Amino acid sequence: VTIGLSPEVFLNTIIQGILLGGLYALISLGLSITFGLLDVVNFAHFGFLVIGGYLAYLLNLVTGVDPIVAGLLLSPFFFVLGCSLYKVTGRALTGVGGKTTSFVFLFAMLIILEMIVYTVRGVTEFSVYTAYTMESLHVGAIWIPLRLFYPFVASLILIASFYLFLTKTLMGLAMRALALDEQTLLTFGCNTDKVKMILFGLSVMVGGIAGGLILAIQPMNSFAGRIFVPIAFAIVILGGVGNVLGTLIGGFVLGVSQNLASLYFGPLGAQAVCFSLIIVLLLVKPTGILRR
Amino acid sequence: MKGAAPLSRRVKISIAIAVVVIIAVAGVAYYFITAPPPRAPQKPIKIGFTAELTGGLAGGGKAMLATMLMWREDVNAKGGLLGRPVELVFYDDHSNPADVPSIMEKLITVDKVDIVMPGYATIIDAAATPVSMKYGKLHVAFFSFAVNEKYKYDRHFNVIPISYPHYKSWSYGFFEVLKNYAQPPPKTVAVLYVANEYGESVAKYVIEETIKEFGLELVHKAGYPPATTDFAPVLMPLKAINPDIVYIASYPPDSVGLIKAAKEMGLKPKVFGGNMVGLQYAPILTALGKTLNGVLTYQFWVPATTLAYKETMELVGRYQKLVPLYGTDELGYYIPPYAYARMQILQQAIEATGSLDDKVLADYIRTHSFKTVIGEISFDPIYGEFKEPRIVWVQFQGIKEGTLDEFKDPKTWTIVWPPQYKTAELIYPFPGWS
Repeated sequence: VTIGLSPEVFLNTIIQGILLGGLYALISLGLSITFGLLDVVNFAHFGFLVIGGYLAYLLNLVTGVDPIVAGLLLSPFFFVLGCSLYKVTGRALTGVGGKTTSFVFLFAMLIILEMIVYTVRGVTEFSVYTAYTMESLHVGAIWIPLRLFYPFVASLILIASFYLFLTKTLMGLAMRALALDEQTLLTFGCNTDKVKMILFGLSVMVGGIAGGLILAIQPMNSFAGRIFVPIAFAIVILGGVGNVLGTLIGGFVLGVSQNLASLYFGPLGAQAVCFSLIIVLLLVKPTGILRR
Repeated sequence: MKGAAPLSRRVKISIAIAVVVIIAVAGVAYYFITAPPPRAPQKPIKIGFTAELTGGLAGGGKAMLATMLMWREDVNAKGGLLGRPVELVFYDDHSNPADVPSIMEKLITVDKVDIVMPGYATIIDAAATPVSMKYGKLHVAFFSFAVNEKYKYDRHFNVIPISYPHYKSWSYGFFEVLKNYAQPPPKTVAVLYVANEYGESVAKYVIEETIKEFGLELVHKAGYPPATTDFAPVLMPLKAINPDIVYIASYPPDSVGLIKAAKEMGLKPKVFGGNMVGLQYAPILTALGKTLNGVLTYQFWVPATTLAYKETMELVGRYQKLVPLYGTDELGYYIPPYAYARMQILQQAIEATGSLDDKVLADYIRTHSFKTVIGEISFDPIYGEFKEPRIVWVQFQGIKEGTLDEFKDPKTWTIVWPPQYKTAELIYPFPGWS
């Protein structure tokens, strides 16, 4: 069965790919900054997505607040949580004993975070239905599901703020310098441990907020973070590790190509087609779309 | 003539004492001969099973357990089975088929239960059946799908309202409704399915058998991965193809995702629905609410006016009171009626045969029909499935708020097929999303 190239379908597929890509980018952001600036492969990030989603769900249940807003309201908590975790486990987390130690440590943290939600919630999914959940903006032949649109806007604002923070503030500068040369930064009298702590705190915060955004889009369960593992790693590599704008572009590329692949090769083949494209792209341009 | 010498006083007293002693001894002897022997505590009848108390099937498994405990209470309140109290022995299998064989072995060989049963759902039954076969045990499964098609074990019975051939009775009604009531008849069909064992086998039968039989044209088919984030891309091709019928074989998360995306894009085929698992549970029904209007899907039992038997309503009412305790589905239309019926079948077989022998019970179940909370049930002799399927097809109509109370109201449940349970006319074509 051939689908035929209906312009309406083609256009909407691309638009929804962009909407989804914006969320993908935010999900990948926390991974990208810990990967790029702290030099650790942060598997625990996918656990913070779940914790974020679940806490946003609880907050919605008790107060009725929108899950996107709930994620934002919870962000100070996530920041403190991230900083505290770093304070306690920083040596293992940053891999003082070697990169493998850090990898295993963060992977273990992912399992524990998932099990916390699993123990409290069980296997039952949790979801939030807002007034806009099944509503769309119709503009001519185009429709924009609000459930995807609001998280998209929130993602863009957060990514832009993060970009400004990294490029315009002294702390942001220190973080970027950390990735380049920690020794030199130390000779300037900078407390690099504190910089790392804030960096990890911010990555956990972004993960927590992203969890609330995911909840606005779809039901979650304690293992919902795992769906995003291949997507987020692909985006981080594609956009250039630690590159905030690259993450955004990587998100769009992945969202759109995934949707187009689904349209023309079927939903089952979409991921395979999409990841084949990434392999080709990396063969041609091994540093990703934008540099680190 | 010399009269007999009068008895001395001493002798008189001796005779009197002797008479009293004889009467007393006789009385006591009579008591012991005629009175029932003193009641030694009766050995209970043990029924053992695996239970899905944690893991992916826990929602159904816990509802099943809650219902079985209600049944035990009912039976013991009436003096038990064969004059013996009933005891339930169960272990959590964590919804993991790998745990099931060892639990079944333990129940049979260590706990020495009289009757052994698998827990809830196909994967559990598939793991449990070989153990029952090894020991020649009676095996009454619950909500299992086509497991005995492979084993053809003559002591295997299955309580689920479908009959052989399984895939036919599972999806056939959807197309029968359309054949009988959809005018002008729809011609083209798109089939969407979740790419797991369930979705693929259901879709395969629909594509290869059913739609050919009904003379429909397949214009699109697509499987999607179980973990799909957004369903718009899955439905997108349908915007261009415009099929008359959208038939879906889905699991709970994707049932919700597909309905959401279909509404958002304003997809408007003439019929939308299928074997969508999940639209039987309270959380999903209440979350989707009025968006469900127009969707055509299967149910096992609902309190529609034609199915609201007094016994079933009472049972469901009792179950609903237990919901806070077990944290199970708030409506309980899917699991409890059939979980209770399974125990009634066993109970009636034991009472009628006066036996706990596996062969005797299996022979009885194979050849008799049973009066249960959901009506009369009998089994086919080869596969041990229901002789008559009992799936009903509901098209949601006129749902206003989608509150729990609304779904408890019989008027909410509009059955369009089969004719004997029908309470409403099919609205055709699909009126669009509300």
